[in-house]
Amino acid sequence: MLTLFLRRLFMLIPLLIGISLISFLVIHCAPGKPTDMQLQLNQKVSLQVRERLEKLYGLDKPLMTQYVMWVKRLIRLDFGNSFIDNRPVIDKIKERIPITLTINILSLMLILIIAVPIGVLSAVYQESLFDRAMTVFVFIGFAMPTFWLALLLMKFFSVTLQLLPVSGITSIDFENYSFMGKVIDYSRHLFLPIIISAFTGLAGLSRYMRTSMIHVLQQDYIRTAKAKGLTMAKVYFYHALKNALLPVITILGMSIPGLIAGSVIAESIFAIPGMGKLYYDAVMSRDYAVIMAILVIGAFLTLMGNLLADLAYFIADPRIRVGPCE
Amino acid sequence: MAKLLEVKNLNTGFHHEGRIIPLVDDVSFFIEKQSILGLVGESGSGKTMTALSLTNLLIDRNCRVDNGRVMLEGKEISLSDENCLKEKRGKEIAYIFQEPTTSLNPVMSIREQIEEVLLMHRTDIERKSIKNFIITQLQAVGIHNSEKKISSFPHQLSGGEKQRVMIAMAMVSRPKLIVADEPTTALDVTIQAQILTLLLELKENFGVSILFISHDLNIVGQISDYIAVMYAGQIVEFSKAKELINCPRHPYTIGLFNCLPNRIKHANVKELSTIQGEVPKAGNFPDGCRFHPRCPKKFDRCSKEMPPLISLKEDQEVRCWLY
Repeated sequence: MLTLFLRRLFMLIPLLIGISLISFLVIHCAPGKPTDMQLQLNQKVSLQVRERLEKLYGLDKPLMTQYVMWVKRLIRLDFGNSFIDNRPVIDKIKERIPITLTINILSLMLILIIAVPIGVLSAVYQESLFDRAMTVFVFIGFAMPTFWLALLLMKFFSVTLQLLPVSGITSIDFENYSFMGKVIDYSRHLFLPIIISAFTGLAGLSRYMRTSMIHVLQQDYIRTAKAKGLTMAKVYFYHALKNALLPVITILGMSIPGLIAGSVIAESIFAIPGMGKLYYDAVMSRDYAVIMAILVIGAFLTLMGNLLADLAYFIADPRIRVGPCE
Repeated sequence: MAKLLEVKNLNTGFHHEGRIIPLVDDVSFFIEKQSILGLVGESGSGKTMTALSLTNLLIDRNCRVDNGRVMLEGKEISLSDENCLKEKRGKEIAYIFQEPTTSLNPVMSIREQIEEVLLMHRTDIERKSIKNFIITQLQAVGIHNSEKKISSFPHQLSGGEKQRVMIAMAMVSRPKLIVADEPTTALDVTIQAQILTLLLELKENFGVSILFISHDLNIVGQISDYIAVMYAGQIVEFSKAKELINCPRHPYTIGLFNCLPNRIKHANVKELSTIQGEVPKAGNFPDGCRFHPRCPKKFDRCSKEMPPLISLKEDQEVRCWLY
């Protein structure tokens, strides 16, 4: 198993090279340059200044040379400096990641806590009123535009009821709060973003859970479990769920890269300085270094997520864990 | 002998868009204490549905027991009361299914699967002695090396071993009745014989009754005390096993016997005979006697009127206009 794991890890290298090469080319071929932001608005800048700036960033070299230089830095885990403020990219990401990670992990947990029971019960009471109501409910969440829902909730909770702050992640006098006060202040600010992110993400997992569960409920061993006289709760939430959750591992593995990618829209509306905002700003100003760093980290996490899902399968499913013979 | 289980006028149907397609049609039978009732019939004749209806184990939402009484030791089992049924399932009426491979939960160990039956129905066994109890039970059904096998998962066992686990799982609660739904069909012939012997031993040693379902008249004839023959959702013949084997009455039963390969050497038959046609699909039953389109002895009345179960003598009934 260990050798298999190492081999899979080794296989990631060519994949990562391919992904980074394609994203590097696409980003660099897109119209606009990082220098545009600094130069175009200012009519007085001469051609010489522009060339000097491009030389400084290495933008005058052929694309392949630029890519090789970028890879050489990446091997030393150096993502380079931002073209906009010349700060190390890694520092910029480090600043932004905690808040995005907090929101995404909490909302993923919320999704799991809500979507799994919805999926299970929808499967058990298939085509019942509950099932239909839940179908409508989760698809409303899926279909509703985030910005619209966010604005509605902001209006209701923050303006009409005056219960929650409108935006940002801390209050102005945050520094003066006690520890508990800080925690409460954070939760008040993060409440709406997390709720919205969870509500819009419910559909996928709950539907997946439902399908998986419907399939499991038709299996012979569920009939056996019922024939043993077990309570329905034990049959559904133990015998069936244990099997139905296995495919969900794959989904969870795939959601790992999403944990660091913030939602551009939600973060913009709530003025949250997260990864989504960073990425959006970087794309708008063609900040190649930041864009590439986020893309590569995302690609790496996607591949790692798949690998971790396989590993988790190995732990969760005895048919894979223990071989056929002793 | 005293009757353990009595089933009266059992009706189970598939409900679809306001229509009811009968799967089990007015089935009545009884099982004596410490005896085996063999239920025979072709695939699709309603054997399994009958078995599942006894404790309302119908998985398909559209299938429902519409009518009928099931009495265990004279006390009626309420087929609509889920709580009452839960008490009976596994504890008084235990099941063994056809496919041991798919009937055990693949992600739970053997120990876990047997243990939950004990925790549910055998409060008399102390928790710390449960493991040893399971080991002895596995030994009793002929699983070698059961100290080790107890922590295995189903995929690590052979088909025969899995069926033995199913039997042990059914027996640990010491039920009064075991419903064995084609327990040997998925197994090799050599294992089949072992499983049959085991079931007979259980009957002798624990006084359990068995409802043995099979499409194989040979096997049923070997182990049953009574035999019921089903066709298209109905019982067409019911009598003591000896009686039925020596002198089958219903043309369908006779047809089934003629289909047995070993009949060739018995009765100077040169060719293996078959019953012409096929079992009608539920919902598509012919008028009159349901067997008449395939019956070699049919006459006018057969296609017009459905014959009732006619009592020939005590414990012998046949559904045919010939009698």
